[in-house]
Amino acid sequence: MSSSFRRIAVVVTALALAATACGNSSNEAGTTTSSTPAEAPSGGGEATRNEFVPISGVPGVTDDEISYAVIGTKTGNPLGNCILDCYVDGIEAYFAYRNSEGGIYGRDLVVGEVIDDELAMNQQKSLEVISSADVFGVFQATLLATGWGDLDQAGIPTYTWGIHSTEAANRPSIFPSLAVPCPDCVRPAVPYLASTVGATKAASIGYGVSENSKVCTKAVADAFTKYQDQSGVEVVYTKDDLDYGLANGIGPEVTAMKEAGVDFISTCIDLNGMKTLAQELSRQGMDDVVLFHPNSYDQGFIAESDGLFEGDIVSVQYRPLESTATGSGLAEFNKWMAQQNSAPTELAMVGWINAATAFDSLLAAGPDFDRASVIAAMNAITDYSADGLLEPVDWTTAHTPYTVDQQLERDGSEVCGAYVKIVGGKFEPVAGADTPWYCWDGRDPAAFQPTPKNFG
Amino acid sequence: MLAVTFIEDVLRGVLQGLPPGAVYGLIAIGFVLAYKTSGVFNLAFGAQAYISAGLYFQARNEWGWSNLAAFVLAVVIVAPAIGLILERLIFRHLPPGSALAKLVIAIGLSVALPNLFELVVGFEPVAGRTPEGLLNGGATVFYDPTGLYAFSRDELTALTIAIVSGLALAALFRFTPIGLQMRAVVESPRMTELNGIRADRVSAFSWALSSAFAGLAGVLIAPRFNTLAAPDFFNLVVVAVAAAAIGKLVSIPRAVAGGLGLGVLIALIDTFLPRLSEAQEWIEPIQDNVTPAVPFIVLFALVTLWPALRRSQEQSDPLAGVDPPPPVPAASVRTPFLTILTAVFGVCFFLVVGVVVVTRADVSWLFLITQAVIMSTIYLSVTVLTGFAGQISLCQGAFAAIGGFTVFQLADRFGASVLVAAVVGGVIAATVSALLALPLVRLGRVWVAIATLAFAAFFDAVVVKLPFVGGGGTSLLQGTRVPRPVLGPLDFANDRLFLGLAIVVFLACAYTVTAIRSGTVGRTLAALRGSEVASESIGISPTRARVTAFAVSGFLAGLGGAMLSIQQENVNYASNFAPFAALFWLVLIVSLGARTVEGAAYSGASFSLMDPLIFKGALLGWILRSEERIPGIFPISPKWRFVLFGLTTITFAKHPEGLVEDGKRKAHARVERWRARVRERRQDAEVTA
Amino acid sequence: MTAVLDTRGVTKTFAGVQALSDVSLLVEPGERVGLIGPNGAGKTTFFNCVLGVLRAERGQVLLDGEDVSALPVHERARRGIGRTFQRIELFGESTVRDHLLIAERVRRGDGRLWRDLLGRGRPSADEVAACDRVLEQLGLAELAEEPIEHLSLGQGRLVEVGRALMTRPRLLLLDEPSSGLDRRETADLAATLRAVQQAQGFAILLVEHDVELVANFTSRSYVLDFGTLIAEGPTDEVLASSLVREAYLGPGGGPG
Repeated sequence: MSSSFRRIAVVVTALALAATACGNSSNEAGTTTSSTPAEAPSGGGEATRNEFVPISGVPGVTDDEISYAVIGTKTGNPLGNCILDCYVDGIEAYFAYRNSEGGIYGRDLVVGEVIDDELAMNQQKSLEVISSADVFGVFQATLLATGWGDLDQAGIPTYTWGIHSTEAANRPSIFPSLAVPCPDCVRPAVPYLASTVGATKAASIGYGVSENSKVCTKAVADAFTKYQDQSGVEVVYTKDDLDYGLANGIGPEVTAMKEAGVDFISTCIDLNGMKTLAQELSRQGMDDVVLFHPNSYDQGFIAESDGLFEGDIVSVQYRPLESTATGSGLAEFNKWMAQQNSAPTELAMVGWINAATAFDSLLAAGPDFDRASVIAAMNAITDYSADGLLEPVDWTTAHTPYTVDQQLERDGSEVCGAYVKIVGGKFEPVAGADTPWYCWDGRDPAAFQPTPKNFG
Repeated sequence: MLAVTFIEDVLRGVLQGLPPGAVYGLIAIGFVLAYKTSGVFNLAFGAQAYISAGLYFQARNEWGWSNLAAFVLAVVIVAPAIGLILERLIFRHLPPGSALAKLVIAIGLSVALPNLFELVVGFEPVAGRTPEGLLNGGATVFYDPTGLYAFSRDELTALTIAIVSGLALAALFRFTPIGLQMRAVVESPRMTELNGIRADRVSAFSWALSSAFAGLAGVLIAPRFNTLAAPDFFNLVVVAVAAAAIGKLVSIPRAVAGGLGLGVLIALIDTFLPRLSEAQEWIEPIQDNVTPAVPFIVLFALVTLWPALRRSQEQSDPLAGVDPPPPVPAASVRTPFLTILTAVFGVCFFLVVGVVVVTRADVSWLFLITQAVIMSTIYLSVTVLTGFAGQISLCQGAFAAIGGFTVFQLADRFGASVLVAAVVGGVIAATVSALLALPLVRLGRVWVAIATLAFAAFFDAVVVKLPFVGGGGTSLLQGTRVPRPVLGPLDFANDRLFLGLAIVVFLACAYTVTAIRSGTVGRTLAALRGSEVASESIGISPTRARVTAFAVSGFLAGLGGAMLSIQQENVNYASNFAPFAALFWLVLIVSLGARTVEGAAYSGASFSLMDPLIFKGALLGWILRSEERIPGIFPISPKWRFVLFGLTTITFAKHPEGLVEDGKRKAHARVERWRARVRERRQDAEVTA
Repeated sequence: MTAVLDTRGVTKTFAGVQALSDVSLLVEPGERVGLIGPNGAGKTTFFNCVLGVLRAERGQVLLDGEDVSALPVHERARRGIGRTFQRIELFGESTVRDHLLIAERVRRGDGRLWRDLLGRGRPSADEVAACDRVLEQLGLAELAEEPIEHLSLGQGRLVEVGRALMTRPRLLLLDEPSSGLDRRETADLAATLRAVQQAQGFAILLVEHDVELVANFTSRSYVLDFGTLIAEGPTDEVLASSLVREAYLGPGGGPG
């Protein structure tokens, strides 16, 4: 017996030695925080757009073309929505639009390869792109973003569907279509929207499948409490541990909400879950309750659901297609998607926005560009709106997320969101067709009334 | 007044639990039906249900057929046909009592069948397109007889069919000759044949019946999902096993009751637990964490705490004694010549591959090869547990994830060296594994498999998101990122260097595993696998030996999981370690060889290299010396990988040692025969001379 | 002198049916004792109660004077009960010697996991020597390296005996050793067993159908019928008693 104790003691000592001898590699996660470029690039902009400078040694750039790879999920997509194909539609439409004007720096923008990451192989496919070194940048619309870290380390400009804020965080080469700077910050948006539909009692519900969806649920509930006096809406029901997919239904929860007199429900759940929820509400005679959807901006989905969502409010991550096409972005999108005979889906819009970001970062870098200068040029832009398709993003800070506990000082920041309401099975911008965004003053935590705005 | 509301709430909870309960009941019926009539613990039942649901949806919505025609195709024709094919080609040839082989094959089928179906029919899930029920307006027409809660037409249909078929099937078994025969055939086909019954016909009928029921259940369940996807059906099976366990796996009416009960239990918990937790603070963490995992907890508790359930298990054919003994494995004892030959061949092969990798491989091939080495390390955990101890664990992914999360948390919170953290992760995984094993190891092997599946589901639903596991402030902002280690002057951010580290870790683990096999633990486990009673009769404690095996296996999985996370610089739980991914690991390694280190290595290589080398045509490209000459059929859909390995498990019954070992033995036998011929010829020549 | 095996009032019921009632039996050191009875008399149940596979509802099992009634099978085995099986129970895919080696290792009780991990788990020279001595006694020396699948049933029984002997039993329980063997094989087995037993001095409790084997091999016997001991005494007397002949062989039956 004593001999085995000695054995263990030896092993423990060896471990302690190992602990002192080894540390962790320096390009460690979390330390790549600096997203501000060392120097702002010079010589970019429309003036030099058609200036050709011979470039050699930059991957994916020839005298005729600048080539990009698109990686996305197609095979094995359990959600069943159109991701990769629709995304490529948007990118190609944008490239066609720009190439019709003569491209940039005397070169055409092209999609060099389209890669299906088969759900679980994003990292592998990203590494293939890195090692083949035949594209300049990468577009990514994936469900499991495991390869973004490698692309960032390789310094490849990467434009992505912005559903993975954690994977984009602190990675200066990753440009998501949507940046979520603070996942648990309390914002006035949802309480304000609830007040506009005359709600008095609200619920906040979400999946318990991940900490992020729990945090989402809690942040909204806290917002209702914080802005209760201004909005007149009280949060009376919170549930942040719904079973993912709602296989067991959501009957008891809806009953509890009914008993609490809920007339407005904010959700942190996916499209399929929304339908289950709406069906249950309708079964329990609560058709009039207004739902706030984070994820349902999909005309086809709404059309298939037989009016279940009438009167609901849907958050949109870009300029709603139903708004007036001021700024050049939306008009060109509609025109070129039509020209291509592609449907204007959510992912097509994301692809278009990503492609626009790629183009604009090239434009900002100037005719003698490489990967690093393109990344740096984008990261120097403080109000990027993709020709009016996005609320302006400050790329000098957008890569670095923060929490309520670790507030970062951000001057003059506005918090904006675009929302649509479902009326007669169609989307209508809540803030108005000409000014589709509501913006709140980020410096004044008590600010409740938004200003309708338009960008671009 | 208060009491009235309370009773109303309870009644409403019961009503709300019935529709999902009917779903669990339907699957549980099919599950029990299959078990009762074929002795197969049919985890592929969900896959069969999915096929019919998908086919019905495809015919009804995409091809525009009528409800009836689609129903006839999906449930009346295709579903029983699948059952007949499975029976004719696979299960008929398995001896009764080979419960483990049947379970492994069923797991393989549950991986292969959905993919095969999707490939053949061209079926893809479509978001938000709700499958139609059997009756028109199934989801929109409501009936509310009680005034408390309304049932939709679909739900009422499912509920009625669940209850009616539960009773009808019970009657079939009790009162009809075919029912008795079906039960008898499972217990001993020979005995029934002695009584003049054609066992093969009865068995075929059983399979057709239970598979038709799978189809029916699938079509009835489908409307509950807003998108039709295979994983949902697999998860339902786990829940249904809990319901079936309530009926001890043999009683169909009790399985229905179990399913309904489970649905009602969940609904009542969802109704009352939030109220209680408002009054009592200590309930809140339970409500937060336990609610989504109720079925898994019920299943785990039933398996471990209900002795009656275990006793109903592992029957063997009373006439099995007249079986001839199993065939002697070919050349299981090797000559020194062969040993040297194999070793020389192996060393040469690895030298060549090593040189090519070090000099030529780019980032992406390095990634794949490193991944292969690390997966092999993880698979060694299966070698110990399945190969040596003969136990099937379906939660190796959870153990590996524990390793990964340990590295993440220790590095993130304490800045610990990831290498030390990896070892700590292994130790934690070993501890969890041993504790999990304690209540399990005296159960039959099938129950160990089921209980570990329940644990994997529990880990997935509850443990992963806990702040000290996969959660916490950092993960909220930037996920579960993990750094690469530095050891003195060696910075393992360099991928070639890290590959070296992965190989060292693998070799150390491989050495450990071979040492265990030839040492006391390995011999003890081999004895237990051979005969538990005989082992006990010479003083071996089965509990201690198996808990040791679980602990070692947990350590290897944890260490491997940690290495994988370090390699990918992120734990990537969802893509690496989710229960379904881990299920595929088992299928892969059992097909290729669970008994040897080589088997683990081949499995690791297949896992990460098969797709790029073979399915994408790279190997063929190298052989043809040009990428342009790769034929148009490449790249082959990755779904074929699941089909291929899933179906390979069929060989498990015949070659439990796996394809690699089987192939090797055959090759050795061939070499031996050849040498013998050469020797004979030489002797003949000498004689003539 | 303390009896090796002393069962006191062992009683076991299955679903209300008494399989064993009040069975008390003694085996003295070095003795060869028979336990006979017709099919279903409860012999196997009794065996299982002695070994710990089944727990008796009432009664005690004493081994060398120590009450082992509450111990699990493997603990009883370590305290000196060895056994063989009616339906042969060997470890597949291993050699004859492997069977003995594992038993020897377990008896020594020095197989720790860390020893395996340090590569010190392989059989030592003196373990191999100990096994080979027993194989020699049983006449199995030449088969030491053979895979178990190559053996005949008679040889397999001898391997079981060898495996049991490695635990250095004080008492060896033989469960129908003649089943499946022809007369010559049975006689060979009995001769070998007797030789080994006399050399090592352990006691044997033999459960057997084959009257001839019981008559030749044991000095004293117990007869079990419907779970009750109906006779005991010197084997030849017991076999001669009419009560036994009737219970065992049926009225008017003869040996065979």
